[in-house]
Amino acid sequence: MKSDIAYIDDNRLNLEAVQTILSQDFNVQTFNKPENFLAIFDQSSYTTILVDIHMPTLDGFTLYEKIIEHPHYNGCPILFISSDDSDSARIKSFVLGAVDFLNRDINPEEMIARIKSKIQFYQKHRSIIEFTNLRVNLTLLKAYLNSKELPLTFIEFKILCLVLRNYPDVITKEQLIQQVWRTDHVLDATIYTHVSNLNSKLGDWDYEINGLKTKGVQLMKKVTA
Amino acid sequence: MKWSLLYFDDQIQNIEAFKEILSDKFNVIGCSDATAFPQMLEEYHPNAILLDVHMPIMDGHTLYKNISQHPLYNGCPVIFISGDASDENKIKSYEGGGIDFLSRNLKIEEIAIRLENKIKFFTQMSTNLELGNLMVDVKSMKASINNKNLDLTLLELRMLNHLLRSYPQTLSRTELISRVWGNDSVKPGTINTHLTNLKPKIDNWDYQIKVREDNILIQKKDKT
Repeated sequence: MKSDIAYIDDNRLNLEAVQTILSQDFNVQTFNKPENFLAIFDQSSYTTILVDIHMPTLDGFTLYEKIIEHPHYNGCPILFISSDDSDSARIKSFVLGAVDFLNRDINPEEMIARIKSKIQFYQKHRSIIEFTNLRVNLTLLKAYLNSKELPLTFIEFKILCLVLRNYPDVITKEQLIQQVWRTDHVLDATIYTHVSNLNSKLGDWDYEINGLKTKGVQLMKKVTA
Repeated sequence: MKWSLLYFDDQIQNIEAFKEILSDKFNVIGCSDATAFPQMLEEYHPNAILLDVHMPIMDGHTLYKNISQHPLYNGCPVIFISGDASDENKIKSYEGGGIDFLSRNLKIEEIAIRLENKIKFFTQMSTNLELGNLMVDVKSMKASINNKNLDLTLLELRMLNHLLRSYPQTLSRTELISRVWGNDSVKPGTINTHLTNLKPKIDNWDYQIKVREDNILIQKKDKT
């Protein structure tokens, strides 16, 4: 499966040229206005974002900062792309924190290899669990539903991660006690209190955690009556 | 504190030069014998590894393959460096697993910032944090000192997590609040309460958390 890449550049000719180069290896979505990209950022998930530096309404450096501060940002590599290969443009890109700077005129094969190397590294180390409109960021230790942070307790956070990782399997009571509480024995009533509190915080999400009295717990799609 | 950079290059004068010019931000550990990589990985836990591409006994690309399969490799970014900036050499380095390729012609300022960037990209994502005898595994949400589990609250683990991720740099009180609590208004004094609760739990750590005016930092304890 091809990785999803977003590419933002005000120049349509650039968008087309780079898309042609990359479309064999990646699924490229192009945006000729940074504002349009930001408007749909909530509903999208990319493995790489390519940002042009010189744009009239919102320059690439400002766009970069808006992306990394966005609650929906998944930590994927962000690369600058420009035909301005001056030392100052490159250094400024790196100082901001971009993982690479691509001169638009480099060998297409090199462009592909540089993007792939970042994606590989990201996928090996990324620590974000995404499940429909729910996102758990393990490096921040926070969970978001529709980009809104859920106020979870530590126990609830651990239960949520466990059911997400094991979906659609059942987690036995023993596994649950051992991995969430790290002890040998927890009362059934305690488990169910935490699970039901977690479910109510998940509100009208399409999924819920079902406590199966004898077996354990499991994440399941809600049955609509 | 500086980033630790493990640098393999058969030319000792290159190693010496990098030790000198990168010394502001990096502690460069040099090794001119590529075949000694198992001992180096055993002894050091680098933040990044820099590999010269052209080396006589084992070239940089082969060395990368060996390092990446070694059980003690910590997953840190590997960057290639070479005087040969041909497309072929660059592409081979990226396809061979390097996260960056540095031409020796680059300004030292750019080399330093590109190395540091890859380290930051890695530490932001990494789920295994280690400093001294403290280990935090955020994937399984466990923290331990000398392999003994710590009983932390979610907020304590978040604070520790962010302090470890920014180490060796310090965090200001407002930065820590915005990372741990989000942008909600939390009184600056709240941090003190949580730090006070955290302190006895991490008493056996070789490091300690210090509050210096508006900054919160991790500091090695003096050996007495």
